[in-house]
Amino acid sequence: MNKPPRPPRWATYLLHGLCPPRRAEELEGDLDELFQQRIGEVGLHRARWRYIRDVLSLLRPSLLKPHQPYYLTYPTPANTVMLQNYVKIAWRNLLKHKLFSFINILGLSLAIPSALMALIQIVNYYEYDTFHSDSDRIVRVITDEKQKNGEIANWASSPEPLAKYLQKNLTGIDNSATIVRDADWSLSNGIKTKGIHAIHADASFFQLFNFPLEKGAYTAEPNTIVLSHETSQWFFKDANPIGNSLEHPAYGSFKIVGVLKPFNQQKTQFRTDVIVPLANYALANGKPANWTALSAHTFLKIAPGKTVATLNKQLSETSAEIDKLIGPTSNTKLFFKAQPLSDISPSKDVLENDPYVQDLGSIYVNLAFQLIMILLASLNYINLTLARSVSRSREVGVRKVMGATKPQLILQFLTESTLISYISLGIGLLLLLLIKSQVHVSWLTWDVDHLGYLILLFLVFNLILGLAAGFSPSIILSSYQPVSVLKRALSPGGFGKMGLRKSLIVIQFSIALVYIFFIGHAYHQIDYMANDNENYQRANVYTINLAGNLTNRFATDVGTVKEVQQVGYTSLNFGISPTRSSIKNRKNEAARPAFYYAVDPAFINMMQLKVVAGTNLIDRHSTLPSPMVVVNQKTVEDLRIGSEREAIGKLIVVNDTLSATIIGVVANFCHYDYERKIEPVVFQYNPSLFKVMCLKTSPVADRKSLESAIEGLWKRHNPYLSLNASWLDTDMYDRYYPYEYMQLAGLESIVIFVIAILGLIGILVYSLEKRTKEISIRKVMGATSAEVIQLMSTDFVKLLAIAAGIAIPAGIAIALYMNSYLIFNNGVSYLTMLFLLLAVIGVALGTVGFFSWKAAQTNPATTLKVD
Amino acid sequence: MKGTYLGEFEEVVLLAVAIRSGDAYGVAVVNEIEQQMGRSVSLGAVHSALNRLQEKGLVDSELGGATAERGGRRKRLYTVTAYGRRALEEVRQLRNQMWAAIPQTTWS
Repeated sequence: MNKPPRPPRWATYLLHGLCPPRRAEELEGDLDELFQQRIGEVGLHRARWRYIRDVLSLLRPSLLKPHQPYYLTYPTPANTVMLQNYVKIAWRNLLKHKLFSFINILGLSLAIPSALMALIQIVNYYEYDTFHSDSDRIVRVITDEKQKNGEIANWASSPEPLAKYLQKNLTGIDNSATIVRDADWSLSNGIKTKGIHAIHADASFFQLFNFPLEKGAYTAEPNTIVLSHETSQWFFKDANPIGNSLEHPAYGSFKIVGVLKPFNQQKTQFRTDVIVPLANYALANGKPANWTALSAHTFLKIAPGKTVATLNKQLSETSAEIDKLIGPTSNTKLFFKAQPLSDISPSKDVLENDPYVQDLGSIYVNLAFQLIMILLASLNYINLTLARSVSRSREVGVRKVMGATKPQLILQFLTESTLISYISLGIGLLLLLLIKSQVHVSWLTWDVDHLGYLILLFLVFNLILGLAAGFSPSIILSSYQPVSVLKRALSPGGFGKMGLRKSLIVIQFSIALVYIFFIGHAYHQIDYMANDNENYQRANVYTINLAGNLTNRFATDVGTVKEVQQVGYTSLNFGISPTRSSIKNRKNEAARPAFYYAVDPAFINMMQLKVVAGTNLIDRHSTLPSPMVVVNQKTVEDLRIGSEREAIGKLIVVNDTLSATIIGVVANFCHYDYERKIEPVVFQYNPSLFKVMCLKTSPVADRKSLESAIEGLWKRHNPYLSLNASWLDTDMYDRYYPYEYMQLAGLESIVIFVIAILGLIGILVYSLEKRTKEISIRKVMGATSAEVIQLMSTDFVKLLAIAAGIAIPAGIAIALYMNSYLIFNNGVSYLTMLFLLLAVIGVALGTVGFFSWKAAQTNPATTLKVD
Repeated sequence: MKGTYLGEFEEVVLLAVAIRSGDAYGVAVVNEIEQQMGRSVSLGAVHSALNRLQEKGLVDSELGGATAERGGRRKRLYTVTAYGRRALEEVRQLRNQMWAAIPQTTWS
């Protein structure tokens, strides 16, 4: 037998969600009975419709109230009645002035999401590393370093041997862990290479901190490695990586022994892609752990019942002994202090070497930045409320005559602003959900442990917002004298100085313009970095990771493809953190840092590096390294070997061992990070280090077909290796174009702009309303529409001009300031600025024009009839 | 307490409760009204009217026993109070009085 037909389930849920539970039972019973009955009468389809209609009809306030006996037994205290009345009157006022309420609510609810996001981040900062067991007993040892000149540097880090020393020599320490971070790693599985953040940790790190394994075991032996879930996915997809190895260019091969379960990287200071044993750090350094370098972070787990204060006392006693260990050669004295795990983030003071931890100062500066938008929206509220004070002044007068006191009136106005702020909070939360589902920004976290706190924080935040926005209007409005107001002794202009309102508009537009200029400039620079072909040629370069399979036959075959113009080799593509090396003039001099690329002449050619003196590398068609190098201008400058021409033929020492002759000098160019200062770069022909094959192609329209042609050739020569290749320009575009971030920033600038326009509309509508009669009289006297429009908009045009006058220099200053951090920048794009300025001012003028035009269209007969 | 004015729909609902006395719950009232007046009414309107009538003290209600036909859900049964009965009679009397006041010549 079929199941009996059921009414639409969502409607039933809706009823249960909204009705008081005691009523829901009888109502659902009634609904169900009617439904079954109606199936017989009018059919299933219409019965369902009737069911939905009935549910909706039941959702009326009188039925949603709590059950009646409760309602009658407890008389509502007089206070709540009064508050209810405040809210009721506030609500009626909102409805009465629909346009202004709309402007206020829309503006605020657009501004609120970004502030809420900032609040979520702040709550998150307070919830760092709360998921470790016994986290209240874990402390970090931080170091105050007193230098010879008496200055004290505060370090979050400490000497590497400290943990073991303290555990051995101090009482009441259950366990200790040392970690050393290295953010400059890269690992390769032979096919793919990835920049990696690594943590060197000893075995006890996993005892102190709770990072459970997904599979495998923790590291113990040197050259073993534990991957984060994401890193494992990146290298191996869903295959089991245990037993495989990853290759570090300098430190050799690491055997994978374990994979961590996924954890939220945003909620911990131990953000990392891989964890390797601490022993490897010593191996990499090639010297035993030393006391002078503050490279490690030391964590202690103290015995239950032991306080941080006693530990601090112990630590200050040991400091002297450790200073002895450091020895007199060092010029510094170290003082150690314990810092409970929960105090680490957010940090009260800025500590050196404290990655992923924000200090209170910068957190609140960031919040303040987000609050600017809220401030702009609140200015709208203040501005509009003051502007409308004429219509409210009567109300104030009458209420005062009836005996209302000033505090009561203030409370009334505050209720209004708070009501608006809470309605906006509701809409803002919806927008926030929308943003959460649409925009994915890695540095944003949405997970918060204490959701209750967050909600409370939101509510309190909006209460403060409402009170702050309502403060000055409520004071001004409630101070009116009933006599003068009711006698209409105050002229419209007398309420809230027009100068104040005008300056608010100027402020809003200046801020909006500056922010938009800022985003425009950021875009200008990012676009340059993403599409740059000036430093080196990116377009039409196809890079193939050779994975150690350098075969001439493949190269010859690829060279026959019609689109391929040139085949070059390099040890590493530009744009990735390059290999470090050193240069010096003579064997026994101190070395200077330099970057090193092993390339062939074709690569330098296709990158279109400008050779300013000498020649390109010489193609030797041999597998042996050549003792001739090409350097950049900075190398010549750093080594002080005269002009670029004079440098040709000079002998230098590269990487301590190789004596090489300079045969060419190329112009300085940005080969990886745009904000890094120019450093010496050395190019050498050294086929044994070639890792990447670069193909310079003709500008092809259909990249896909070329890719598959090359892949076919690769398959023929390397049947067991999949091709790992990509286009240099798309690679660099992905690297430098932070799409999500730009999306968010773009959204914010639009919001600021909309808020400013809303404010403008509010004031426009108000001031035109005030001048309706004037307009009509002018028209009767013979003014044309154009003249009226001109008259009405002159004021606003002036204000916009002032705002632009403030914003343009400020925007240029910000752009120059940002450029001062970027060694390679694209300059200030005045064209972009001009375009943005025209867009903003254009829309604003359009708004002014439209409303003035509308005002000019009024028929004088109708407006003057009433007088 | 709300005013004691009896609206037209409230009057109809109150009459329906009286007709179905003893078994007057939401669906019964809806059915009664639909049958008598030949128009469809929404459950919400009826419940809201019953609610108002109760607030005015014209009807009383209590939860009935569970029955199998409604999946074990109980009904709320309404009864007309003495005050309610008087209100109905007053309305009727008022109508009668007004009918009587129409002059004989009006429709002749």
